Amino acid sequence: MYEPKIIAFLCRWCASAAADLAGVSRLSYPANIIPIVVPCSGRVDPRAIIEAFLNGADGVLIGGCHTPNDCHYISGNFKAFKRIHILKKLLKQFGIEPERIRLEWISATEATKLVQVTKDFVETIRKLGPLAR
Amino acid sequence: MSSNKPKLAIVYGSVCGGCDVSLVNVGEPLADLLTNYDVIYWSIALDGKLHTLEKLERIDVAIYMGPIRTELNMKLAKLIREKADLVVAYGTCAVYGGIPGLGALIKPSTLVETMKSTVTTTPGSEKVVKSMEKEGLKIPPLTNQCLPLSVVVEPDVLVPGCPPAVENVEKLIDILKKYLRGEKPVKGLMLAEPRSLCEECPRRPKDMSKLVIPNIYRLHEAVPKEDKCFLEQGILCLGPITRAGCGHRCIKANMPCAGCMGPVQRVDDVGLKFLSSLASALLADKEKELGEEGLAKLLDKIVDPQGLFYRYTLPTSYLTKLVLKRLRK
Ligand code: SF4
Ligand code: SF4
Ligand code: SF4
Ligand code: FES
Repeated sequence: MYEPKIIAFLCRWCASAAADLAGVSRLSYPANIIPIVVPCSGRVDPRAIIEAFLNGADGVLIGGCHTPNDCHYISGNFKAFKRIHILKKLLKQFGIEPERIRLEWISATEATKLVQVTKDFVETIRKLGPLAR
Repeated sequence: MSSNKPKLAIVYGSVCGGCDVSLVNVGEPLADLLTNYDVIYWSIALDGKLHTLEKLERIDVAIYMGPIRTELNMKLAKLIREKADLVVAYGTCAVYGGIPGLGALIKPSTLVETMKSTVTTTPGSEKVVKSMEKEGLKIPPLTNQCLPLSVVVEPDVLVPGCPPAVENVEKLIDILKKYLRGEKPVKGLMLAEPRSLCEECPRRPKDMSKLVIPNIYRLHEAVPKEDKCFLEQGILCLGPITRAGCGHRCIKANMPCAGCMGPVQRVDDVGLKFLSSLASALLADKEKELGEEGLAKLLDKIVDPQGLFYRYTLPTSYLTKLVLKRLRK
């Protein structure tokens, strides 16, 4: 069966902490996810997302702290929101499914949300199939 | 007709003609220069044929204008790189793909169909083409992609600008004068500034890092003030990521920069970079107040991000590479 490759940029303070909690709580999330810890979702450059696709990723997940008030750098999550919103539209114009990018707010305590989101995203990408085909 | 003057060829890709006009526009300095060169190929001025170039052992200088869009363009591009000592990529099309580059991701057959079926095509042109073919003339087929010269061969000098600004054409003429004395420019010389247009712009805000874009207006929705940064007025201007060196022609005419000089040094994808800075500065003071929904609504006023961000550089975008990689698989 086709196994999607997914890069997940997880902010250190929330989404990545949730992934740690999932580990400690022995909750498992799909092995398709390759997590990369970033200081803040607002630091994820669109270039890094496209670079991930160019290097073989079929989907990119960005996990950050909840809006409006949880980002540890005040408004990095809003920056991420604006970037991803435009980037998705741009991808669509290029004929690439915008669903291949997913932005989620996951707090440090939401280990179950992280598991749910990653499972769900893997299924979405599985349905879309490999990016290069 | 042979002379021992250095040989100069001015070669066309799929040009619009603007580049040629900009070259001729410099007037006297060009006329002076041309007396010292033997112009062997220049379709607008001479009866240049492909075999003229093919026969030559060596060309000294070749100036190439326009993108590579047809098989003939491709042939000429490779031919001049093989024979010429100094290759000049002249104009945004030759450097980045330019306006014709916007067709980079459209199938050639679709382009031809559109061309034939739209009102801008002269009625009866099909017939003309047919009768030409009877005479043995053939219209060169389109290449699969639209590429700038600079991607296919390595030019020695690059002159961006759609078309290049007088100042930069004069610089090129200086280089070609020096070449007569045996001086060659450093390889890959870009006739533009490494810094951004904003750094030279008379409208530059005092502290660019604190800039907030208050809204998004399309050009017809706003009457831009003549002394205020376009971004501060909610009109998207590509100045922050565009190379200076055009004499901020558009800004002077109260138009935002559309990016024809290409990206500043060290930026290779205009769109992704611009997107990133745009998102930071856009409504930065109202994020919490508007929330995600409110922001999304305003962001949707950017109706054509691809055309806005990549108007002149689409073939060089990472996204184009990604799509082409996907299509080739
Ligand atoms: S760079 Fe501009 S002026 Fe020159 S050929 Fe291309 S479209 Fe025309
Ligand atoms: S964004 Fe445009 S108007 Fe503002 S300083 Fe830069 S070039 Fe000038
Ligand atoms: S202002 Fe921008 S679009 Fe206008 S000529 Fe200069 S670089 Fe080109
Ligand atoms: S620190 Fe988590 S999104 Fe900014």
